[in-house]
Amino acid sequence: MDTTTVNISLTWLDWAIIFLYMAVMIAIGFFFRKKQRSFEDYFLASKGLTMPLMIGTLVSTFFGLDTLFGTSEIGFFEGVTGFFAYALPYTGLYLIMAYLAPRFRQLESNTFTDIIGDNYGKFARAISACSSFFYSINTMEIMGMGFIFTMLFKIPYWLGVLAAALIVVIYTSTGGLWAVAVTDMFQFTIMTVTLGIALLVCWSDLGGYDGIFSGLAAYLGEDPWYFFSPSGGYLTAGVIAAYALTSLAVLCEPAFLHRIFASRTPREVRRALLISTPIWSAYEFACCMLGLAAAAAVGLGVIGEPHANQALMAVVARYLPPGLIGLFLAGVLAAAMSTADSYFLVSSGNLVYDLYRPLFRPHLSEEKLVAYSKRAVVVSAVVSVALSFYFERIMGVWVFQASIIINTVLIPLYAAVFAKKRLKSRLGGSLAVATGFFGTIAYYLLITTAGRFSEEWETMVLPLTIGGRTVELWQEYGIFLIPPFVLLAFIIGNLCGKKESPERAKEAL
Amino acid sequence: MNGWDVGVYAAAAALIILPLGVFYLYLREIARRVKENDWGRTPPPTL
Repeated sequence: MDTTTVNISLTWLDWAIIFLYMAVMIAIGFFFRKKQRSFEDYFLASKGLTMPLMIGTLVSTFFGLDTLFGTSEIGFFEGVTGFFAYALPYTGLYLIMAYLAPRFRQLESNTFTDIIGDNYGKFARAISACSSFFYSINTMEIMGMGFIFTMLFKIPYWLGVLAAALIVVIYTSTGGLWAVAVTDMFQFTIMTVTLGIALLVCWSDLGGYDGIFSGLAAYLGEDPWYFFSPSGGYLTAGVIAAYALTSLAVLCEPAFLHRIFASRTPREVRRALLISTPIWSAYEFACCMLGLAAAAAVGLGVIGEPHANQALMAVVARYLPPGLIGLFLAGVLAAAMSTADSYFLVSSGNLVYDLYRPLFRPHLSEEKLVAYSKRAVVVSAVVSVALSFYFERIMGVWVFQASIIINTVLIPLYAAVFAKKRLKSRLGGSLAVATGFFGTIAYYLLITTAGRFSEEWETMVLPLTIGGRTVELWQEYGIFLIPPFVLLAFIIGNLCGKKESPERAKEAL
Repeated sequence: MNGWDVGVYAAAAALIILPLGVFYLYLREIARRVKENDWGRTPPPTL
């Protein structure tokens, strides 16, 4: 994300709001410092999250900077297709989850890896915990927070990354999920309300649909009809279906499942998801329309040509009054921090609760489990920060992360929760997670080492000649190519493995 | 005002009204929790 051209002038009121926001986040962490006696208190907020807290933490966690800047970037270039083709499939899955999620909560597990371990054994649990850890390394948010700090305080990028990560680590490691959920609640309110106000002000001031349509015509120098076409004038049903497949990550998203296990009752989960869905949709729609409005604003000469991923910031900075700009920037920071804190916490659970304790210290006391989890939050942050300096192409990391969690976890987890009576042997689950996990790593290694970077498609591509015909394998195809093998491995293992009841697998843990 | 204007204003209204409503419910709950010091802690083991 290039932030060098966005120039935002802040008043003392804006600065006061930004500093107040950061101070409140840290204070909340310290408030909850002494409130945990057990791992369940620390990691799952004592399984006491009620509907409002669930809504706040779910919405804020799933909408980070990728939505804010990514969806608005698509809106800037392609118009409403950013919402209809890319974001709407997620809305459908959130609604489906509203009916699936209560079943997970009824199981009384602490993590989804508990379910996998109970049904398929230690090996499957360890591998699925590794995939969850890989998924939860939130390099994207760390980089985003670093850029925002760099832009606000005119400090070097590395210092921005460290400062932002430090604030999140302080309140997450000290306060656990209670601190994360309560800070998420503030972050959720700030990021949604400021975005709603920004959309209202920008859209009205640019003259509504008519004014924006003329602005887009001036920007493009031609009829901008495709900006208001749901398919963008070029997307086919097949391409849209392919994008929809990537949204399957929602079904096995570690932080999503973490919140479900932390909710007070299955009913609270369903109500929270049903209320969150229209907020998620409105948020995506607002980001997309603000990107589109930015393109119109350039055409009308209201703002200069911004870098595409800064379109939203550029138009908002132009229209919001002092005070609200500070609140909006706090909202942008909130979007990043609320996502980062959740994944730090989830990945600390993967390291200590899912890997260290079952494999090396089965009799670890609750006190030590909490203490080690707090340290593991720091470890997760260090890994994320280190990777944020290492990777230049963040999109490639995200595609790998989404692929590894879907390929490793989706089939065995849903089989264990929804088709438990059909499980004959734990070998099926073990083979499935191993095929998904190692298959994904092997596929990405192959594409990144033997393939080349396509400037046209901006992704890694491996051309293969089969029977005189050249086929291009993209790194994104791992999400489509590997699941059939995972399913096959699951079926073969389930049918041919040693017959064993899930209770025995649980005992083996 | 056409359909897109209506959609945009509806989305903006949803982004302002729904979260504020949720935040109100949260404040009510958190006020009660602070008053009763109820953070759902697991009770300490009895002797």
